[in-house]
Amino acid sequence: MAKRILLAEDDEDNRDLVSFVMKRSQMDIELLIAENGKEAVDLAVREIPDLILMDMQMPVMDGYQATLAIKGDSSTSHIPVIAFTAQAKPEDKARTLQVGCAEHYSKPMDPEELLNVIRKYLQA
Amino acid sequence: MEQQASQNKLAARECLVAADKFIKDSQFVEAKKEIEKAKKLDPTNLYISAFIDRINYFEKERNPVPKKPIPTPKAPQPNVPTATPKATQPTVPSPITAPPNPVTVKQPQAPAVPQVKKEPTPVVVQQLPQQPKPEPITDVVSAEHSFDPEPTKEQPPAPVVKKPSIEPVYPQTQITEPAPVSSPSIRDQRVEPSITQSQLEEMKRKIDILTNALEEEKKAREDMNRQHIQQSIAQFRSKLEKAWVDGAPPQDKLIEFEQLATSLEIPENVVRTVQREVKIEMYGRAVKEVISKRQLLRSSSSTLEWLRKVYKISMEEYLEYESKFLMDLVADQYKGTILQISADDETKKNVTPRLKSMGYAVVTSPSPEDALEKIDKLNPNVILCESNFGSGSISGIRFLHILRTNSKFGLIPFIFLCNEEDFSLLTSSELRPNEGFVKKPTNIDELSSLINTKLLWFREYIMSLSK
Repeated sequence: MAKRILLAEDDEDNRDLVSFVMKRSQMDIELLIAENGKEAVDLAVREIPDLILMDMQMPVMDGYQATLAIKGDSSTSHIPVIAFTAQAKPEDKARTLQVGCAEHYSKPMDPEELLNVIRKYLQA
Repeated sequence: MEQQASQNKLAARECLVAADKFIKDSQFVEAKKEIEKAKKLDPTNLYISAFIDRINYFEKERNPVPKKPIPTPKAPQPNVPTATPKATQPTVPSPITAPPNPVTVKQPQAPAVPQVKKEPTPVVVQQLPQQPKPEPITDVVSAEHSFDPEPTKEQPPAPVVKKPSIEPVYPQTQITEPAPVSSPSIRDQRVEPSITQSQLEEMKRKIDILTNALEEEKKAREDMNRQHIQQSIAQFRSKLEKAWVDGAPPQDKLIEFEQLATSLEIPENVVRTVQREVKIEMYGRAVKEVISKRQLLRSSSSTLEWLRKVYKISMEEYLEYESKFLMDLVADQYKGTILQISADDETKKNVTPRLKSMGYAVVTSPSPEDALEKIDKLNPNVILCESNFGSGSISGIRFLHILRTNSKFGLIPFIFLCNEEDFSLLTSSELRPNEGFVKKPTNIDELSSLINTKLLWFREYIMSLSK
């Protein structure tokens, strides 16, 4: 059965790139797309994905708020959220972990490295 | 003793002369008796055996052994009697022909010759060369004359006729055959007696038609096979491409493809080539796609390395095609810099990413004023500009007029992105060759085509300056 990953990302190029990498991951993955934090929360509640990749800088609702909402909902609180952000300062990393993210992955991405992180959480 | 022996030899010769007479008269029994006498008198006489052979020969001629019936040529028969005497004449030894006696008159009446004439079948003719050697006979003749100083009228013809009757007969039959020049040979007549030249030509023509038809059929079959193989290969390639688009398919899929290739009767070497081509092609496409987003990647080289694993491209294969990949990347990577001046979110959302994916570097600016600040540093190849920016900002048209006065940017491609109201205004305005417009919502293909047209014009303009 395919594993479902929710990607919350407002930048189209980034969405395309993540999609490109997922297709070539040799894993059975279904990718769900949200373009802002609010959409991400709605999709997470509705679809209950296996993993969430969350951009922290998004319009409408940013990644921090969205993660808090997801972690605050009992139906989605178990879903691991990986912060997928260009903010790589230690305080940024600390903040993402504070709101409930399981991992902080800094952009720009490395396909193989990102896939290893994803594999780790999908297997767990 | 010697006298006795000499007398016996003489007596033996007389017996042989007598035997010769009997042979001429076809009295072979009597002739044999004389020969037997001669044999007793002089067993060493070499001609005795020759006489026995002569008798055997003539006896055979009288009672010929039936052999394979070979059609007798009609023509030879009348020639035999005329040819034989002629042939005999020159071979007659001078001692015999010289005397002016009736010998020459009697020659044609010699019994040996008519017998040959009466039996003109090829069987006889073929046997003739196998008869006793003519030399002893000739010798007999000379011997006869040596001990017969007064030959009778009947005596000489026997040997005279004898020899010619043996030798010339064979050539006569050949002579009497139809001349090869004037008519087809007997052999030809037997095989194709009724085929005329026109019939032969007709047959040749039909054979040619059939041969051509066969050749055409063979060609058509080869074409069909080729087409069939090409279709099979195309089908195989299409399925492979789908399977390889996101990287190397799993092992069980590869086995399925092997089976598909076998069922499509594609040669193994072709299968390998197609597989390799598809793999390289798909990898190349992936490289292009990912490189276009290289600004989002931490490392292009590690990404390419990852892709190499995903597509199972060996290092040898990569190195072999590296230059091709790099050339493609260089060709597609950078088409030029576009300065896009727009405050419209819809435009930024729809147009900007598409232009980037086409290989343009796109720098956005929210207003003409902001663009004027950037343009000098940016040095763009193309300017895309909204026609109207609302209140508080100069219009796109005003911005164009400002640029026209600038010697550096006055001639670079300038394209308006205009709404419905400005569309009619721009169509009626006098735009320069480097200027154009597209109507919103923007059709990306139309925009791309217009950008290319304007860039082409600009390049040609620059080239004309350098001449």
